[in-house]
Amino acid sequence: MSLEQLIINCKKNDAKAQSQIYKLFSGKIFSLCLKYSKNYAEAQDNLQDSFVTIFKKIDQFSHKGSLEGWMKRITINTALQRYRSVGVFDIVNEDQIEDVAVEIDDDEISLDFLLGIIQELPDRYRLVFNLYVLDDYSHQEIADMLGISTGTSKSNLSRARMILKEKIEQYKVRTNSQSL
Amino acid sequence: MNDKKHIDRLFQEKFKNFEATPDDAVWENIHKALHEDKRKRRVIPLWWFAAGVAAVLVLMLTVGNVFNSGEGFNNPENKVVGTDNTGGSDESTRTIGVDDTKNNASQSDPSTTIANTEQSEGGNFENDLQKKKLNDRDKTANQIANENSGRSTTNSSNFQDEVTVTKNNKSPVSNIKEETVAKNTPNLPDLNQNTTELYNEKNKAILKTEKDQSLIAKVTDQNLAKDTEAIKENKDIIALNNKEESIEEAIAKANSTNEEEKKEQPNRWNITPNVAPVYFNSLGKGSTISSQFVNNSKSGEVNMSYGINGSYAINDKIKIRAGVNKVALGYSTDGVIAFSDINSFNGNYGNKEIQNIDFASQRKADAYMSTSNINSNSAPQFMVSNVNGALEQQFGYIEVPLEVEYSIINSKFGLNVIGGFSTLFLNDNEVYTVLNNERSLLGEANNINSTSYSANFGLGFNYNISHTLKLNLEPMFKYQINTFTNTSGDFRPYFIGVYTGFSFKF
Repeated sequence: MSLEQLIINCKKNDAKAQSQIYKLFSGKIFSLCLKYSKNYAEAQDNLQDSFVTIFKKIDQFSHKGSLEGWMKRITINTALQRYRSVGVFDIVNEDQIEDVAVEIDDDEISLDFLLGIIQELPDRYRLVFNLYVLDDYSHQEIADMLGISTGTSKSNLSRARMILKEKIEQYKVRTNSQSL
Repeated sequence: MNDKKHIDRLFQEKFKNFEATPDDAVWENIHKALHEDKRKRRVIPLWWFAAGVAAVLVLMLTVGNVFNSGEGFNNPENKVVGTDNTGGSDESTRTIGVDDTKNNASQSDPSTTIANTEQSEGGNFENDLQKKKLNDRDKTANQIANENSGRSTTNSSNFQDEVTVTKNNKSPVSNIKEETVAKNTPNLPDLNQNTTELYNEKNKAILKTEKDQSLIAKVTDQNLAKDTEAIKENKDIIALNNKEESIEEAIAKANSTNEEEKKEQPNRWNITPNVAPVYFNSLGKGSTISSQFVNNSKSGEVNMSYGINGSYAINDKIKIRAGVNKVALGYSTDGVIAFSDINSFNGNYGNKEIQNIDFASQRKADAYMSTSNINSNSAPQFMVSNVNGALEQQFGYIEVPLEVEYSIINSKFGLNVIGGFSTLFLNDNEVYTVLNNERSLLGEANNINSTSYSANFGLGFNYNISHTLKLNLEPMFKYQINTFTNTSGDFRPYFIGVYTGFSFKF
């Protein structure tokens, strides 16, 4: 069955079509959830909420962009929603840190480790880092989505980079000392 | 090998093709969220509605109650204490006191506790302020009560209980009871100092708001100073003074363990088998069978309903009840002429078919018409002379009532107001013809909904035969909703039943 037909059936709340759409996209969407969440459990919650929203609103999908892009936007929104209600973005202008590029050595660093340190980031840093670096949102868009200023978005991004860099360096020192 | 790389690039490259497999349970949850709740919703929308109405009713009545007891909280209206007091047992009184204190200690939120402590330290707060705080506490307790069915009586009424006890302290006997309550509290090992203080502060607060009860205040204050030995004496005195019926019970209670005593809550559950003659009729003029019968005279029939109800007492005023009844209803449409063979006359007089009845196969050829369509001058002689026929419609339901009972009088004789909804599931549906006292099955009505509803109102009279057994008599009016799909004229069905039965408390 074509994707088009699946979407049409999903609009009729057809369980089979929903199941197939889920099978096609859950991997991608779940990876997105993992990046935006603190941990695995929260990611699963986000995944569940996102797909429920996706299927409930699929009749609003207008085929203008790709289905995947539309689903990703819903998922990111769902993830942000969790923090919006908690109110982590409610932070007044921080000191503006210069946007310094952080250079690091590219060794074989595992994806699991990188995901782990992303999840360990404080919520506001993690969200900004994900949105800007991994999902190509501009600072202006991020500012609008999170209800912060672009300055705050930039400074959060820099802090996120710094923290990540430190963790990678620490990790290397540890693995090096182990290998010695 | 060690390329220097911007950290963003590192993450972007690593995460480019990142996919992860979630647990299967996630899909099951999604599936459930999308499908199951819809299925449920389709079946029980009216249940939700009925339950909602019942909940609102309960809420309104409860809030009213709280308000009453809050405004004039010296009215000793709480029967929970009363029941146990009639037991004449200082032990049972003590249990209540202790439970109250425990609950207060464990369930009043910290801020309230602090507020109370401050109150006693400051000592000079305005009466209004104290009243407000006490009311707040009361409400909190009530909220807990709503959530926690098991302990709700104690919780919802614990404050009132104490007030009641205090208020009752006008005779020497109940004074002693009060002492016992107060004195036993510090003696319990698992109650800490705070609890005792809280209890006493509360007592003080009550007494402050009611200055004319200063006598009792003294008694309560003195309680703390007295010896534990005095309790024993008090017991004896009470035993002597209360020569009422249940003194044996009280002694039995005194011997039982503390935990068992806690279970000695007033009985909240009732089960009531009942039987009722029910009379069915319509408020307006109409016919469920055919438009030609709208103006015919109709008479309701008296049938029987029987079933069983269970009820739960939320507090001493309000009960929620639900049950299952089998109810049979019937009525007859008079002035119908039946022709056993359609060919025997030319159908110039009204419809030969009746649109709302599916005929039993052997009766297909029959024709029926209303005598109101017949002009006695022009009609053939056989028609005019033979007008004593009737159509008898009978239907039965399994009725599931959901009602709220509000008690107005609660003594040996009780009076309740009852309101609620029933869901009616059709289980019997027949139409008979009655001609010259001969009754034969015609078919079944095709316009009766398999599920319909009724709005119920009624009064409940009851007589307490014993502590656990009651005789009930409940005239109920049930207005049917959504019973027929296609009626002629203005047919608004209802039925009246006088439900009698015994209810057992447990």
